[in-house]
Amino acid sequence: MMLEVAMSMKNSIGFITVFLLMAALAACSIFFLLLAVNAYHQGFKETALYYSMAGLMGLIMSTYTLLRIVRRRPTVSTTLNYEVQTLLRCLKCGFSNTRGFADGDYVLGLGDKCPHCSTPMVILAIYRTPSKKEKQ
Amino acid sequence: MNSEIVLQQILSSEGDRLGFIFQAIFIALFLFSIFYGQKLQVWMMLKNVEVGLNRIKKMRDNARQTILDLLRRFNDDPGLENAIDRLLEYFWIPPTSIDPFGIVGKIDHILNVRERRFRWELKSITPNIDDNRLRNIENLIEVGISLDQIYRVMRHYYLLGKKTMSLFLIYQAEALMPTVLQEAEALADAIKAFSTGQPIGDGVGSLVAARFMYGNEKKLISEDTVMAEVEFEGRKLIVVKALGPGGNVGKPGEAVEKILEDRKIDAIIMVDAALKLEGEEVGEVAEGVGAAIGGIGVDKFKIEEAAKKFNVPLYAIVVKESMSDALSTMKWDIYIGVEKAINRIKRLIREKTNIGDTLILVGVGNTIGIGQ
Repeated sequence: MMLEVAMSMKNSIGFITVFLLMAALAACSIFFLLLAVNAYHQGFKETALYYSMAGLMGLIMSTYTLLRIVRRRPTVSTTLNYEVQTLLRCLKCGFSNTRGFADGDYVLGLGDKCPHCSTPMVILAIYRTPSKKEKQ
Repeated sequence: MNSEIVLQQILSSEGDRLGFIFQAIFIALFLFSIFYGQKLQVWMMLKNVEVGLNRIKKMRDNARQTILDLLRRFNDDPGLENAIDRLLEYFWIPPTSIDPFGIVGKIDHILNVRERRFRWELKSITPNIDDNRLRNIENLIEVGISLDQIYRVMRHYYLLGKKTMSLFLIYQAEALMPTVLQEAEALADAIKAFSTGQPIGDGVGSLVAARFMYGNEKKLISEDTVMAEVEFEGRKLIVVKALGPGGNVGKPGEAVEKILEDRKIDAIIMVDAALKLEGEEVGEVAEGVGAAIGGIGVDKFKIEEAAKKFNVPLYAIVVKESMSDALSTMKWDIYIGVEKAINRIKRLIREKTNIGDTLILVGVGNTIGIGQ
């Protein structure tokens, strides 16, 4: 437990440090790019090239690293966000109905009464509807 | 001298200075990649393993919390948390395989002891619980144990890799991580189904058997396993499945052995879920021969032995699905697969058996959320 707490603390400190460093690098890179534009307008093409190279390299590196560390944050699986439906059928009159799953439902068990003939309907299926992740 | 020329000279010399700085940085980076390139690679791989490990940890903690929340409904004891942690660390030691003769019997014995002990422990935590719910919680704890085990093993390799900085250890852990994560996610998906008692994809075989035995008299044939005799187009069908709707896989091996010893059987048909390969459709049905049953292999061994002893042909029908589908609430595509499997079984019976024959139909799989 202690090890896990220490690990998560260390992770958070590491995350903040790298995030701040990369944010600083991104800011410097943007400043370099502005300098490059300024130098170009003043006619110093060679200097503008150096500044723009430095700015672009820094910007690419910082954006890439920032994206990677942000994406690295653990996410909980989204596949759990699905809905479950229960399909019932009256074996006497053939009436079918679908409703949300209720606690105690099971396939081939008895469910609600048929609205037409009042016979208990049989649960034919309990199934999940596609989650957002699956739809994507 | 013109001021503009001075400025140009300064900037030009600044350009030279910048060029020198860039060259120095390039050489420094080159030397760094020679001396520390591998370390950097190892560090990046370790970070990837760490990310995966954190995800598995989240899933494990989530499973533990679900188990706790569910059991709190039946027991408010403050010591419940410790009892759950003790159950989550439960293990079994496989018998020695130095002399493999009779190893299946030994595995069967140890697994039976484990199951009885586990059930007793759970019953002592929640004494007023009904059998179906007890089986579901038992399954849920099994999921928790698997997630805990995965987390512990991966953490072991991560920490060992970090300690030794061994490239090969870390490389293996990183290479395994995607498949381990897939397995862990499938287990995490099972939590919802097991905690609410919904049917899972693995129960496809049980559902097929249940559809055949529905409305007929059932009796217990072995522990947590039921059978029913059904007439089908002049043939006698002995349908076997695990006792539902609680989470059970039953003992189909023992059931088939008993039936074969008591009666003359002309064929055995087994229906089960099978792991699909990438590119295959969920709910696809395939047909073959052999014992369609997974698990450690005890039931498979018993069925194969009995079929060989009595010279009975073994036919298999499988419904394909992914690991995640098998462990989470059943998809509609799998119900379509059930209909297809039923039609295949009927066709197989017509083609391979004669009127007056007796055959066994075994629906294999976890029957959670499926009655009979």
